[in-house]
Amino acid sequence: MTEREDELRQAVEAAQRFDMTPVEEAFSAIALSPLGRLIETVLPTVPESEMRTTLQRIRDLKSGTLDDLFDREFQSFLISYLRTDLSELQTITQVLRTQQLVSASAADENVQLAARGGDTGGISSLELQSILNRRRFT
Amino acid sequence: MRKYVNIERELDAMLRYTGVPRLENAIGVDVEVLVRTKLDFDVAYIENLCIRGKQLSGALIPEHRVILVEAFDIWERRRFTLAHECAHLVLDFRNAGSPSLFESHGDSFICAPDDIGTTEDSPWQKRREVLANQFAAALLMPGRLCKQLYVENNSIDDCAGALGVSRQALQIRLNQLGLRA
Repeated sequence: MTEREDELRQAVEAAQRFDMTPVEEAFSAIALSPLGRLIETVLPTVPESEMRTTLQRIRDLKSGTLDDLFDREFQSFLISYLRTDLSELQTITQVLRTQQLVSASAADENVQLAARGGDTGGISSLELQSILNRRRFT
Repeated sequence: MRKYVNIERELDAMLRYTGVPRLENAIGVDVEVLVRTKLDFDVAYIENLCIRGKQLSGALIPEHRVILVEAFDIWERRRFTLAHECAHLVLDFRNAGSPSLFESHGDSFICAPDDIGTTEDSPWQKRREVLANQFAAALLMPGRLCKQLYVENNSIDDCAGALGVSRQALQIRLNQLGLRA
């Protein structure tokens, strides 16, 4: 074995000995970010799909807020990290923004709306949340 | 409330700001992309959209920047609904849109809060719905394009397919444009 081959062997052995467990444990102990918590509230209504996977990956980053999704640097990072495009990211941002706006309203707060098919005179935030729970993601 | 609304002018003002995203066939207007990317409104397809016992095709919630659309409707109807709600946004709730959206026509249509939420049989409500339908028709079936397609194909079904609208909607539009008796 040449000196170079010996160095390579030692490097491989060192890499194999390196224990990532403490790092992974420390990372998993970090609490979800506000963005991650928001995603958690949406996930139960999202079926298995590309969007669900993307949402989970954003949640698992454990960083950021909804506002950060409007930040161009963060958008750029996510597009690269998730291998997605701005259009999909914008859709996700809008879904999360709707969820946050509805969650932030008091349950009995009246929401003004214009409806096709009949005037309803507005609905409460609680009703709106219930409607959004029947949202279909394609 | 303004007595006269020029739908074509309102539509032109919006399209100058948004541009006209097209469907894959490069003919029909991609109204969902327009709403999502240009007007920055969420589009939520809801199964059995029903509010207070009323079955609805769609609803606009400007405060939450979201448009609800009945998910079980056929594609063409969902598109018309989206265009219809887009009309409400432009004609009735312009202040909920992008601040720069209607700079040039900012005072052309003002809707007082008391005007919204009246009974469905009121003349005001009926007028709003008629205007929204006219706007939606003009958005999805632009006059010149309709005429050109109809003259080239002379087939309602082909034209409707190209524009992504229902046969019935196109027939009404062609009548309005004086192309069919």
